[in-house]
Amino acid sequence: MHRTGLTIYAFIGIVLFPSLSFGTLGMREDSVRKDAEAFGSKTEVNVADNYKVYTFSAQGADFKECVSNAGYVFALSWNHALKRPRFDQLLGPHFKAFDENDPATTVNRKAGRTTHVVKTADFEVHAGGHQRSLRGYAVFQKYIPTPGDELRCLQ
Amino acid sequence: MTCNFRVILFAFITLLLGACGNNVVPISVGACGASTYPNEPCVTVTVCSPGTSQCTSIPNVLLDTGSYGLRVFSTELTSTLRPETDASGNAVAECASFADGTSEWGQVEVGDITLGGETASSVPIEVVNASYPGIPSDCTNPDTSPSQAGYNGILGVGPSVSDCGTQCTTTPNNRIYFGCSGATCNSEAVAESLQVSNPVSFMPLDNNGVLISLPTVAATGSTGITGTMYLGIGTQGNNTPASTVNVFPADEFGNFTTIFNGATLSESVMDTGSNGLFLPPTASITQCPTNSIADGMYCPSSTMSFTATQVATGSKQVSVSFQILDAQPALSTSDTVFDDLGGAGSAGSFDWGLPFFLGRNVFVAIEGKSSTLGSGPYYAY
Repeated sequence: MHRTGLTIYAFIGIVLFPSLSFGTLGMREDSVRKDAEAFGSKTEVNVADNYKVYTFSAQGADFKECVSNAGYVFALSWNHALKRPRFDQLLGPHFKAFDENDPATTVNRKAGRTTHVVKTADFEVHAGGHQRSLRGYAVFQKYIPTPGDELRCLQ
Repeated sequence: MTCNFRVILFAFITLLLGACGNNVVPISVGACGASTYPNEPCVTVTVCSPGTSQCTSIPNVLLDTGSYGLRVFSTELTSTLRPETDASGNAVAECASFADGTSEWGQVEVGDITLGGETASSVPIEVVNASYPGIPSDCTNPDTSPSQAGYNGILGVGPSVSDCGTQCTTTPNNRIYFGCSGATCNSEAVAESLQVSNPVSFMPLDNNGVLISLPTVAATGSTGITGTMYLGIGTQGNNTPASTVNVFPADEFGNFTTIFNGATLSESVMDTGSNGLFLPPTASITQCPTNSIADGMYCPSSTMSFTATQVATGSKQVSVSFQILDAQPALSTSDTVFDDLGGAGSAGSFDWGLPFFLGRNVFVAIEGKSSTLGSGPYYAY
C-alpha cells in the first residue's frame, strides 16, 4: 500500500515538477545516486541491521542518506554547509508540501532566530547550525524501519 | 540566596574587569527597538565612508557570535560607502544564508566600522537590500526591513575572519557571492579579502577576539538587561582572562564538542545570535504548538533540568547545568530575557545560544590570532 501510494505521489511529482524528479526523501534507493550526481559527487555505503547509510560530499558540505532494507530513503542530513541545500533536490516531489508548510515563508520572528522546522503529514525537516556550518536533517516517518533508526543512522 | 550571591559576584567581577575603555561596547538584551524578540542582544555600530568623517550611528544591531561580518539594512545608512567590484568591474553582491531559513541579500561595500572607541578601516560590509536587482531564486526568505527582521543589522563576531573563506575563493558556483551587471547576477569566486569580514579582526589593537559579559537574570525572566562586549583577549586590563578559565578549542567551522544524553556532539557552538538553547532532537521534551507564539521552542508542562558536558583543552570535561521552561506562557509576558528558553536543534549539535551567556564572561577567539589563552579559534569562559 505504501509503495502504491508513493508511486502515485511520485508520478504526480514528475508530471507537475519535471525538473525536480530526482529528489530522494521518501523515494527509492536509486534516487540517492541521482542526488549525488546532481551535486557532482560519489557515494560511500555502510550497511547496518535495518538500513544502509550513503554518504557523499559536495561544495564543502557532507550529506548522509539513510535507506531502509525495503529500499526507501527514510532520513537524510547535511552538515558543514555554507548554504542550505536545495530542498527541491533533496525533497523531490515532496518539495511542494515543504514549501506550503514552511513558516519561514511568512518570516515572522515572534519566537526569534530559532531552528527552522517544517512539518508535514509525511515528513519533518529541521535546519540549523550557523554561518559557514549550516546543518540539518529530514525524516520521512512512515519509512523508518524501527523507531529510533533515524536517530541512529543520522548520528 | 544563592541567586543574590551570584548577582553580587557578577557585579564584583564586572567592576574588576573595568567598565570603561576604548574597547568597551555596551550590549542591551531585550531592548533592541520596537520589534524585538526574546533573548536578542544588540549593540550600536558606527559606519563611515572610508577615510572620512561621514558616518552613521546604527543602533539595534544584533550581536552574533555565530556569524562573521557586519550586515546593515540600506535604509539605516546615511553615509555613502564604496561599492566593491570584481575583476570584470561588476558589482559584488552576497546572499548570506542563516540557520532559521532566512537570508540577507545585498551589495558588498567597503566602510570604516567603529565599535566602542576603536575603528576598523576599509572593511567589506553587506548592505542589506532585498530589492537590490538580481536576487537569486535560491536566496530564500530574504529579510526585507528592520521591522520585519527585528534588527537594523547583524554584527558577526564569531571565531572566523571572513564569512565564507576558501570555499568562495575556489568555487565559482558557491551561490553566496555574485557578480552583478544590472539585474543579472552570476555566482562567482571572490578573494577572501573581498568577503564580508569580522570587523574585530581589522581593529588595530584589540583584534584577536572578544569577551562577552552578561549578567544573570531571575528564573522568572527579565524585561531587559545590559552587558558589555570587550574587544580583544588579554590585550587590556578589562579583557584579561582569569587563571581559572577553561578553553574550548573550535574547528575550522567554529564548532566544539559537547556531550549530552550520552551522545558526542562535535558540531556544538556558543552563539549569541541563537536566542535559545537548541538541543539535539529528543522526544522527551514537548515541542510548542506549530504557529503558536513559541513555535520552534520547547513547551514542557513544567521546567525541566539537565546537565551537559563541554569538552575543553586536554579533553577536560566541564559540566554545565541548564533548564528548559515552558516557552508559550513565558513569551506571552512582557519579559524578553530568559535563561531557560530552549528548543529542538540539529542532530549532532548543541547550540549554546544567548541563555548560556547570561551570568558568564565568554571569550570568542578569532582563527589564527594568538592570545594569552592560545591561538584561535576557540571559546573560553
